[in-house]
Amino acid sequence: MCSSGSSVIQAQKLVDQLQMEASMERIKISLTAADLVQYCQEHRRSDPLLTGIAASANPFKDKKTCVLL
Amino acid sequence: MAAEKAEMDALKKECDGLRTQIEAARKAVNDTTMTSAAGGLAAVGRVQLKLRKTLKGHLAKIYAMHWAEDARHMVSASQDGKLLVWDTFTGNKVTAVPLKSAWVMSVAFAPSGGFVASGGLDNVCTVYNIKGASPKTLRELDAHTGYLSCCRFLSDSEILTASGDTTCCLWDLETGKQKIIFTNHIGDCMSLALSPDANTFISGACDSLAKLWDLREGTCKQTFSGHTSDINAISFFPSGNAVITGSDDCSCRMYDLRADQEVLEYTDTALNAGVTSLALSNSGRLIFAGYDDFNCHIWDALKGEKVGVLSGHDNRVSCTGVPADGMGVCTGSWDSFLKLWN
Repeated sequence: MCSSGSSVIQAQKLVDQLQMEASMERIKISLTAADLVQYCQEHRRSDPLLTGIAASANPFKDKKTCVLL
Repeated sequence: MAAEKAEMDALKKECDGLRTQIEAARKAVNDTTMTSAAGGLAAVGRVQLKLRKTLKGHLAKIYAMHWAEDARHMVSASQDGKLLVWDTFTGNKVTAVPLKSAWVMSVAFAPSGGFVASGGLDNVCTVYNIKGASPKTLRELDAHTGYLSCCRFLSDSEILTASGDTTCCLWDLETGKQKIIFTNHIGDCMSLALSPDANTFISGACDSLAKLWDLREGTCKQTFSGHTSDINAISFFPSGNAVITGSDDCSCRMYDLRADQEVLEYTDTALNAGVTSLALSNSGRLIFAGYDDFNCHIWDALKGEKVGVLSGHDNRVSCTGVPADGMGVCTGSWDSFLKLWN
């Protein structure tokens, strides 16, 4: 049972892919993690799930309607 | 035969060498941990959200949901064979889309709000125009040879799909044809997410890998390992520089794109259920992860600590979503209900 050149082609593709992934320039975690922390801090105030939502401004809260008779 | 074996051996050696090179390059930038970088941050404290609405209408398990860009409408998909479009402010159903195949696994809302798409075990991604009085099928995208696990619109004219056939695909909705096929995973693709700048997307698969793809070139740029089982859920951190994944191995992980590696694992020994879905709050600080244990657990994305839980479903939480304005979280479950929390 002889495999056609397809296994070789597959293996070559894998090498090409790994070469592409290996060539990337990686940045130190100390820098990238600091950026993630900074992002969260800068956007803290525009995150309603962190800051809380006033009942009057809450779109999902069922509003009890007041009927004037 | 001998020549081919020699060639295979040489290629295998080259692969091993490249893998070692990649690991060394990753180690070289691994100069600190995410948790120490976040050490100086104040804790978020206990996050206690209230259940605001329970949306009832589906008659069987809910498998997917997706918010519209207007942060008000939302579409859900159930194996009762229907898509339901909801007005979450009133709790009313706006549109019901009957499906040809009830075995739906994914649903998406187009950014314009005029179209929804769904697909599942039929291997087809069907796009519906929901602008008129009754929904109309616009396109049936039929080329995947495996189930459709996830779909996301780039615009009204392009959609991305992920499939059990191990590929992802970019489709042109005007012609109904495939534009680019993304091949590299060796397991069923389960989930995908678009980057905030729309130049790349990320996929999670049953080969326990997450892959970053160039949307226009069709190439796989980065591969992230670490999970020990199927990745079911994936999302970009809002800055676009990190990715969060959720897996059957009961953990979520954060992968830093620029350091090209895992930087945080979200696990708890008491938590022994697979992660089905996840969504991030607007600042990226909170991760809402749906689990097989019927709950949605809330994690501090930077410190890696569990900070809350959304309890109330009577079966597995299958889908989770935060709207564009960040005003709440929607959870969908096999118990056939959707719940809105904030």
